[in-house]
Amino acid sequence: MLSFLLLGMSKPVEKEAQPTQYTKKSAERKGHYTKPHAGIYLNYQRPENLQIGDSLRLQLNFKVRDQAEQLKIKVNVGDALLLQSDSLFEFETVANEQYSVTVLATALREGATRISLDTTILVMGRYQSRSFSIPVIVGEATQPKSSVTGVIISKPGYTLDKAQGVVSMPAVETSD
Amino acid sequence: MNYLTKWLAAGLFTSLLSCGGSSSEPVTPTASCTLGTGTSLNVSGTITFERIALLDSGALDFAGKTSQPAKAIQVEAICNSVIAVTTTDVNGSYSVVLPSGTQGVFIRAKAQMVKSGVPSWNVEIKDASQAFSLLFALDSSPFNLDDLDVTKNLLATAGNVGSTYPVDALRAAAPFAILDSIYKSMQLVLSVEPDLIFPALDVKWSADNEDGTFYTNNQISVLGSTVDTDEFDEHVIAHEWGHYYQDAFSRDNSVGGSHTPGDILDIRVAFSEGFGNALSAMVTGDPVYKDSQGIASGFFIDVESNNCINEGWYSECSVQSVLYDFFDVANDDIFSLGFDEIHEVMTSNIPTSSSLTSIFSFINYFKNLASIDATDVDTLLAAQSIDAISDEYATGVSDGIYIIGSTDVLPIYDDRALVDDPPFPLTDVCSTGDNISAAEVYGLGASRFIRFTAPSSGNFSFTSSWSSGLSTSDPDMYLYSNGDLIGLGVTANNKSETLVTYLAAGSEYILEVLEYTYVDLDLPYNRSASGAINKTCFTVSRTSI
Repeated sequence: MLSFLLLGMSKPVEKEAQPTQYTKKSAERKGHYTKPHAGIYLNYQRPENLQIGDSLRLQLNFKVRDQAEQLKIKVNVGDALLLQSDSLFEFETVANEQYSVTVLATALREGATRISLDTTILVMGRYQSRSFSIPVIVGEATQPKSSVTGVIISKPGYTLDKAQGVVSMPAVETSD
Repeated sequence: MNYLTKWLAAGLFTSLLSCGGSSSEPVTPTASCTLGTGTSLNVSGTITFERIALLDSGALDFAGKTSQPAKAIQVEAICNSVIAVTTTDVNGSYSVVLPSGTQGVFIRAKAQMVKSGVPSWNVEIKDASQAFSLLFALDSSPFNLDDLDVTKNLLATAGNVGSTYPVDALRAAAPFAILDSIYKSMQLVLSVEPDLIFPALDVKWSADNEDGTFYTNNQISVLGSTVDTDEFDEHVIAHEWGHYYQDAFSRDNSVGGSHTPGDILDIRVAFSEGFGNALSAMVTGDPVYKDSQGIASGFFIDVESNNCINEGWYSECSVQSVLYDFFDVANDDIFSLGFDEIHEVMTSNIPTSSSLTSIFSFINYFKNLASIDATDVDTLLAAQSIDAISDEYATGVSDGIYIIGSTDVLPIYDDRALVDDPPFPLTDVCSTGDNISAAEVYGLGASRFIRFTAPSSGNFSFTSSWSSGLSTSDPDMYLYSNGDLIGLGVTANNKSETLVTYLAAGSEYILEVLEYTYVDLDLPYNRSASGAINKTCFTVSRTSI
């Protein structure tokens, strides 16, 4: 900024623009800088890989921010699973308490799927939500994403253009 | 208008590619294009994308879908290889000149904003599901150029059907919506510093991305899974871009991690996250931070509201409230400054400050600006239960009223070693788990900061030895010089840790001492567990070696 102040005090002259480039000074002790969330916390044991026909019993332990008055949980399972427990849970909450629900499901078909959770708390008269996703593998363990350099995952609708280094998506062409 | 139109002769371009080592494999959509040799024809149009709006609750508003221009993105004409390159303007318009007689050419809009010169930037949206580095691109169908100019308008669709996303929906709008939010973020900064050189930024997104939305090391990950899509959540993207801004142009000593307004946070985390929240409101012009969750739910923060839970200098909410009040033109506060002064402190003062990044360092320098009335700043701080800030080390600042537990977290910077003779050893350097509200939350007081100066130049050994608290203790230490990490001691040794480093005579340093048990992500600490010991103390010594 100093350079701008000095320029501002000088008489106008024809001058080539001077780029402003900063030296990086951040600490090397980097974590992930995540987005803020509603103040709903989930703790669980990641489920073992299942075989078709296996039953899944998964305990989910929730805590909520101190000011929350109510916790609602909605459970959805992917189509490789059949949910056999309730899908909706509701608690009146107090500070520092843990709220547990048990999800029961049966493995129907092979694949990488998930249990998704829509959770909502009531805080100071306002509803605030946070979503969670729990990966579940049925059958042979499959990686939903490429973890090996040199392997490109193809997906419906997307065309891989290796030569140009792009994942091509068809545009909708309009005349206006 | 920022048009850069180039018509590259196919042969020349091929030779350039071979010099650069890039592949010359045929382009997939038009393997059989024939480049014409006739008169010049104009191919022009607009590149747009669908944006799904958000409701006040933060939830997606599928009925509020609009088409918006894809600004400043790279557009190519491809006939086996790239034969023309241009950039869209603020209306999403582009234009290239191609030879008549060309058969099978197509237009490609890349999910990339790139500009050389001054200012400059390079932002790319890449497929998070690929181990390869693959950029998203929107392609037209192939077309022929006979003897008339051609209009090609390309729309990237959101992929929703009604209020849901079908399985395997093609969500072409997402990369361009993300770019649009980053474009707006860059514009805010360019409005006060037009000649900025932005370091390259990679963004990873895919329709199945469940890695989280976060910033780390010049890369932003954006959630795409329908459990939580973030591509249309402008505040979320601007928040993460705010971390990039701090990293690129300022300094950020935050260790990151989970956080929510209301948490009682380490001062570095509170400032970093509060800055991101405030910046998102500045960028979007919308003081209500919104984050859609799943298909029908949402999360929001009223950045303009000064009604923070657990307000104080350890609160990201208080930080965002103060920063946004400096910026905004609303009549609810004293200031209406815009971004100038904030940017000046962030880029001119924070990078060279000797303390760690926090609201104290920011306010200290902010109050010193000629255009700022320090008394007004103190008034604004008082509204967030923050005492007047007189220096970057929080001298004289009192405990916030909402701090949990009995462990004293003051002074924030322990300066006994600056005044005592001898300066070391220091007893009762206490780390606390009192403010660890949940897993991954870096609560206030877990880390303690010791200021000292080096008595002579040479190698020194620091030891942190357990004196009370957890029976199984894992002390760690980090050493900073002007905010740069210059040494660490992070072994898993029980009850003792050592850090060896070189010190320069007369220079000031900050030693961070902590009990790792309180911040261990693999074994989240539970302050409320039966028998929990939320205070562990150490004796810190220094020896010349």
